[in-house]
Amino acid sequence: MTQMIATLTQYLSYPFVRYALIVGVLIALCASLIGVTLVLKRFSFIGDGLSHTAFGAIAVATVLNLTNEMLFVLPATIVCAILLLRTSQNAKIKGDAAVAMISVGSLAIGYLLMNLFSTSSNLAGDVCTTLFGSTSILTLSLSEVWLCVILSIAVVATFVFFYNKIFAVTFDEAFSQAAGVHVGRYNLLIAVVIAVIIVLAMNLVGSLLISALVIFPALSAMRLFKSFLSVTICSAVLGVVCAFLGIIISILAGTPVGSTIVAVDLVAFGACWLAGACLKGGRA
Amino acid sequence: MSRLWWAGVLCALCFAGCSATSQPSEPAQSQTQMKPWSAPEPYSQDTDSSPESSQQSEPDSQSAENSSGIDVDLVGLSGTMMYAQMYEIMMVPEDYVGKTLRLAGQFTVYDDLDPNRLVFTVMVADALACCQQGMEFVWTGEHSYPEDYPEPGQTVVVTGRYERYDNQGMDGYRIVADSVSW
Repeated sequence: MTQMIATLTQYLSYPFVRYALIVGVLIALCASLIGVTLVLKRFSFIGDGLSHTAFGAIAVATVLNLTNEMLFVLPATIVCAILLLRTSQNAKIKGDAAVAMISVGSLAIGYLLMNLFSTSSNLAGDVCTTLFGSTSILTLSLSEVWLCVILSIAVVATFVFFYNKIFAVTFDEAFSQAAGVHVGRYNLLIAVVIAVIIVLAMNLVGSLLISALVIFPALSAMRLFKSFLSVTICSAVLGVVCAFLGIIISILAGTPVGSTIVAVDLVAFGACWLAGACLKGGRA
Repeated sequence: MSRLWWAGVLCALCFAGCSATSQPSEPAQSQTQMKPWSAPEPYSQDTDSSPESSQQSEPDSQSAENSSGIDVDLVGLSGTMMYAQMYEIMMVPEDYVGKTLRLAGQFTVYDDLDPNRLVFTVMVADALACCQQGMEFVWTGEHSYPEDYPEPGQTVVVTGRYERYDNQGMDGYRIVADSVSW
């Protein structure tokens, strides 16, 4: 144990480890906050769909040899999020079918483009890293860290300032609209926030595992608490703690960062489920 | 009552599954062949040609201090950390020029046709083993390939000074190795 602490102290002296922890914690915080809304609106899988869209956008940006992929990926993902969330009420293809269609379509088209117009000598490695986020979080430059910090602060500030409206739109859109809330505007805001979080989170856990960052903290919190505010706060705490622990464990044990974080989320969900069952049994 | 019973069974299974015997810093699976260097220490202390200022000189440390004069010691780091540190060295090489590095990885040989020379590298893979970073090295002294070099694919430990050199008009970076062991 002493040796482990000494090793960890040594590892924390590396700047890229500190960057990874800062960005990882912020991304997990943002994802867990918005995850409560997504789970309650039955849009848990939208993280998956948008991350696959982002993968397709990355493929297009790579083929076009864009210096800064974020300039293309972020707007493309935002547009897709808006299309999915705002048109779900009146669209001919609704909800889960629309997400599935866009998800698999983007993944297939993205991989096809990367194969046909390959600009890398290690295509499999690039795809694998994008999908699973192996060590991407440990290879961030200072400018990327600052970008993540600014976007994360914007997301958290948006959630805090518009908390009441987001709460209303989450639980009862029809009543909110009748009460004079601009539901469409807040759905648009939620869509933009989700897209930003997805693009940031791809650095942390990769495309395939993003849904875990969004879903697990919210579901774990719902096992313990019932009110929206309590669930949101608990979800944020759980998300941050699991991301922090996941990164620490992965650098100590030499495991992939994304998978380790998701594994820790899974263990936390199991623990919360058990605790919730015990609490419920105790009350009964 | 039955819920409590099931909860207790699950807790017991969880505790039974936990083991105290696993070592904390297990290398990534692509690195398992690196185990040989952890037993008899092949690094010899008299081969460091630049014992300049390696001892804990920078508080913001990208280097692990070492009494043998090594500024950046990648040996003993977990697989994830080793890959990340290698990536850092590749991205900001000027920060490491002149420093003494020690790293371990797979020995590989490339035939550079223009000019006609052999390029010796140490390759380090990430935890998923889908990405690799390689670092070129030249071994000081009289050594000929393949007699004095390890087999390609073998795990080697390379220690030496990181330098910039002219690679056909472009800046190239490599380790001038005083010690290569396997």
